[in-house]
Amino acid sequence: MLRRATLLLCLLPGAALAQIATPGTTSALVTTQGTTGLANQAECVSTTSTSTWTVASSVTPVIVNGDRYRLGAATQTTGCTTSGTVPAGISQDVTATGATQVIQGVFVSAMATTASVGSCTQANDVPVVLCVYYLPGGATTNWQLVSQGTFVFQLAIPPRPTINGVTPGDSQLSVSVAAGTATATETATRSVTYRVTCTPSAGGGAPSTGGPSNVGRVICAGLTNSTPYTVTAQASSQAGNSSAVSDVTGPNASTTPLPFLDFWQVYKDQGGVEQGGCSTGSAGALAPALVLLGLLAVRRRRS
Amino acid sequence: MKKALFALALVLALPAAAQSPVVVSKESPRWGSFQVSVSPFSPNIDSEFTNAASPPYATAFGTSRPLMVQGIFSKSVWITEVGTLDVGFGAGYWQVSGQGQFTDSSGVVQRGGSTSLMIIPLQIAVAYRFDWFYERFDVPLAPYFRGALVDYVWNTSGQGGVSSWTSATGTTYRGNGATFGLSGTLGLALVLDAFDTGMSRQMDYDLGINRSMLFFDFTKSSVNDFGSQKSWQLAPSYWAWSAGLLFVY
Repeated sequence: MLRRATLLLCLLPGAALAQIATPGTTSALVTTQGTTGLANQAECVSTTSTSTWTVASSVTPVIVNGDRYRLGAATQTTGCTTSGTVPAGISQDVTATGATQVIQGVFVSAMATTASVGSCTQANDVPVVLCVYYLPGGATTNWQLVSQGTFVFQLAIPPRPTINGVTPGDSQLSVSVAAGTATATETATRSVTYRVTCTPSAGGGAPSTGGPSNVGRVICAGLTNSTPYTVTAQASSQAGNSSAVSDVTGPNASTTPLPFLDFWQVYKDQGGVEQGGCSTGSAGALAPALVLLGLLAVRRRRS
Repeated sequence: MKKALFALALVLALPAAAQSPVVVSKESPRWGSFQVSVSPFSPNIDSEFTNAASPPYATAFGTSRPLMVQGIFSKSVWITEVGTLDVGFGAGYWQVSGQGQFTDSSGVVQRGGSTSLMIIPLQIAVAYRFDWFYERFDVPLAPYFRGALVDYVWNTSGQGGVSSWTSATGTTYRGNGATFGLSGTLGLALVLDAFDTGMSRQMDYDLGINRSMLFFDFTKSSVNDFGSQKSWQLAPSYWAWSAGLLFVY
């Protein structure tokens, strides 16, 4: 009797360990926007936007037993449930076909609701946790958390950018873009990129776009020289939330591309005598010799 | 018991001794030197255009003097109490950026686009440094002079990369090349070892650095392929000062 009790005590921790086996990882890709682990404001609001979950489970389900997965979501504060009653799912439970499984058609708005995101138009990013529960035989008894991952509802709209200046170039405009000032509804987000649009001010013609680029200079290329353009800029978060369009700059001299000559061309145009090329003068061939001498000096030191 | 305590003390003291090696007073053999320096630099390219209203270099890049960074590795070929004769190889880097220009049909000049000039100065230098004041009288000053054969490898670029210009006859000139010249330098070095002899000996023991010097010098040079009529002048028009650190090892 004592031996049996001892054996039972020894086995209990093993059973407990099996219950809390480290969950696998899950990621979700929102199909309309295409960045894994992110949803933007429009996708959060939309009732049709769906995501694809890629689940790596810590258990290998048995199809013939009717094993199922339940997809859940939770706030980062509470995290995924590991004991007690299995939480309600985002959608209907799915048949578990393997330890690695791709599950399509998970509604983004349902993910937001389940994870208690609140308003999809708030000016904050909301990180949540994705949870995958394993239901043996499809029953809600003996369930396990078998996979989890992180997901961010990137709801912040980048502030409206400002154009600090435009420098004309040959068939291009170099636009200096600065981040806008945050407001109650527009907050700074990470990984904001900027896109500029250059539109011919007269005579029609398709607008050209430059970027996306980080804050600083964004090039609008492929423009027509001597044509004045109007320039605008727009910021975009990593998940695709677009800011309001900046004030219009131009048309003026600085937004008119011209065939500018660079320094060498101006120098030669003015009659500069330098010929260029490595054979400049009779001594040009000595350049490699200088390098060789340096290398020999280093080699000799090492030996 | 006393023997055991002595042995224990010896064992405890050994690692400490290993961490704090005895610094020998004898100096390590000298091989050569290495120096790094910075110098405000502006080539005198506009010397060809003395009467021009808008000379090309000043128009594109202005009158600023960006810093040129240089380093010289030298081998000491003659070491005496009076001084040291070094022969070395040096290389550096310098770049200036500016804007291009466009002149319309009415003669109005507008600025725009981007353009730059980059120079990699190479040199073979022979220098003599008077160590006598420090070695003999402990005066921490070492005057020196240096002569060098220099080769400035240069590259001009515009919006689309390396510049090129096509003449009326159809000949294309690419905006890169190499230009040779000569330079002479006069300078004075402050021997830093004089201010902390203990650290000086430690640096010699740990790194083999015999002397550390802070120097300041003036250089006059001419870099135009030795007066070639087909070369521009890449040397400054002035005595260019430079400052840096020199390590004798």
